[in-house]
Amino acid sequence: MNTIDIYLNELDAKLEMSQRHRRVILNEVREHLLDAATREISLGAPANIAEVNAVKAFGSVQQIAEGFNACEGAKATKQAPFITVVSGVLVFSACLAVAWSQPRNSSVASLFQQVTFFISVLAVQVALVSGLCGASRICSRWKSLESSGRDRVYVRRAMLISLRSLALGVVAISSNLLFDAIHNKNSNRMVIALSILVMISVAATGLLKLSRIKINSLFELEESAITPIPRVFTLGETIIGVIKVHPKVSLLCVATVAGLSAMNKAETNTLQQALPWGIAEVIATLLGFYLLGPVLNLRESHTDSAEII
Amino acid sequence: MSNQQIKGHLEAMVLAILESGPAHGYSIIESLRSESDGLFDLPEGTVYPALHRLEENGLIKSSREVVDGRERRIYQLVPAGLGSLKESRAAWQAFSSAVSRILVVNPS
Repeated sequence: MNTIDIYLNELDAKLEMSQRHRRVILNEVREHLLDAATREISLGAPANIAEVNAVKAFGSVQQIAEGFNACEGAKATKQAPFITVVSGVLVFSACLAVAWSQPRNSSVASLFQQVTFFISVLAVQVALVSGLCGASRICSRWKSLESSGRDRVYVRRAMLISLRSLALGVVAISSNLLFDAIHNKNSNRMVIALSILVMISVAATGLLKLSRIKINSLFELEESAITPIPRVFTLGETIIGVIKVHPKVSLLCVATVAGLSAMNKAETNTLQQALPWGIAEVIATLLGFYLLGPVLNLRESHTDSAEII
Repeated sequence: MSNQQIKGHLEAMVLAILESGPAHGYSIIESLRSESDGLFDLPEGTVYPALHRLEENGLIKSSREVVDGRERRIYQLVPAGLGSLKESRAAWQAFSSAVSRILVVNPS
């Protein structure tokens, strides 16, 4: 085995991408190294020395693999929000299908239904906030040729939180619908069963696809040059910046709106019955901001938890 | 000149080289070296990820050609790449003239 083949084998082992893409890269590198070796030979170098010089001038296997892997990781990072958005839209559509197909029921929902509905709403809220955070970062870097390893880590983390929350929401709302199908004789059981099947399949597929995405962030974590982009693309990042600067005011506004909204949506008949859900929503919002704030870069962290992938 | 400094402008330089016509990776690297009088002496392999990034972002396109029995990947500038090159040129001219003004006006 000659020097070029050894180099290509080592590079092959370090490239983190599909086999087809690896083959394209390795063919291209082989052609380059053969050209470089031929040039060395034409200048009078012996064949074995020419190959060594060609490989040396090309760069270390680690450095070159990092470059290709980062490039592939950047591509994968842009796919992540699409997977999350498609999953979210499909789950939401399935929920709408159930809502439209069920007969009107004027009786007060049971405690189990209220709890599962509350959990699903909370989970969807977390999914939405995390998804928006990840999508904001992607939008603000959309025109930049390179995305830094830090950006890729952030987007992957935000999207995974988003899809995990969506999956939790699916489980909660599925339990709610199952309960309804069992206890309400007038419910459209066929639509409920189909919707549950669609929601669980979509959430599981999305989560699986996202967790398989290799963003290769550990190869380089330094910041990359950011290409200037129209302000509309950086709107999300600007809002995140404002939240970070004024966390208490932002949290107060969000918690108030969320609490009132929860009371409005609670399937209860009186204000007194709705009040606990409003309070629970405010507590959940505060807790969510405290726990997820540093991870989603919405507030400063006193620990290094934000760096954990 | 440090590799990091070159890296920040590598894509724009590759686009500029491809402006004069399609080329394969090896000849792009040769052009980079000769046009810079040997100043840009990056590890040759670092240019290929840049080429892949440019292609991924729709600024260049590649095609495969067989030359002398060997398969070559030829890169070619597309209109979006030309637009990006014009933007990079304008940004560089503004940046370099500003730096020059400061360095020339304030010699040590």
